[in-house]
Amino acid sequence: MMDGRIGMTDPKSTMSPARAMTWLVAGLIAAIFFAGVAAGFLEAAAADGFDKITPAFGAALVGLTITSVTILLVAPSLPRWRAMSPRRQLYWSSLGGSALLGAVIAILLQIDEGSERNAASLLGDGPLSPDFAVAVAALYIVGLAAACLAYHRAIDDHEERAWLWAGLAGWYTFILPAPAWWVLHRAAVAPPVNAMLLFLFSLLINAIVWLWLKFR
Amino acid sequence: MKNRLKVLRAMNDWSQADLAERLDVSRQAVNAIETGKYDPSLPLAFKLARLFDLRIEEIFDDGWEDRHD
Repeated sequence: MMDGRIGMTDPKSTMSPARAMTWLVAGLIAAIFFAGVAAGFLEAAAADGFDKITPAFGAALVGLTITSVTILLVAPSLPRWRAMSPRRQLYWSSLGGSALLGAVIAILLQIDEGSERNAASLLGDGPLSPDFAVAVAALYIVGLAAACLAYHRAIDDHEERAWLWAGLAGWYTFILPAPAWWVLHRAAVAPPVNAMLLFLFSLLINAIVWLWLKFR
Repeated sequence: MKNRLKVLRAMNDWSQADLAERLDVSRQAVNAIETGKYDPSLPLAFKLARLFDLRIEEIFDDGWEDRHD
């Protein structure tokens, strides 16, 4: 009775935390080094008239790629990771993937902000370059959809229930004020509907309800 | 819904994290069930019953018997 799976690891294929840390540090050093190489190469290329990829973008891309590959190679060999069930591994992979996606989008926003278009402000409505906008929109939709699919397949009943109520609360936070604001604006008693403000408000309520149901 | 999960867990000298690992759910899920803030799904209730080698109604009490005595 009550035979658990705790401690089920294969010692032959695990990596000690110290060794894993060594590999992670080596990977980070390599990422910084090759990001610098990429930036230098692209700066030299820019002097010759090549302006398709900015040095900052190239450096960020190389650095993130090497860091991601290092983590992907090291993490599966850690004893703690191998002791996890497939569900938990998928859970943490989906969260890690989402964090990486967020980092990529944040870096792209920061790079675009360099041209003083104020793209990093979520409520900003200044113009964006078409290439940048298409890349971020595609990355957000495809990347987040894939991460969400994995995440929702991996969560347990309790977290699923928290998401169902949080999603419903977020939905009502959007559909209740939006039409009311719209008719008030048509009667010239309110400013035009700000969709981004409603989106952020709905996200906030969604997060509050999820946190409350998950961790109370 | 009332349940005996905390007692059963203590009888086996398991922490909430130990039980969560055996059920393949989060520790927060075990805590929410124990404190009655969350009623588990039927598959999870069966999993609990099998883990403790008991019937579901020996772990959970919906108060029906109290109301019909």
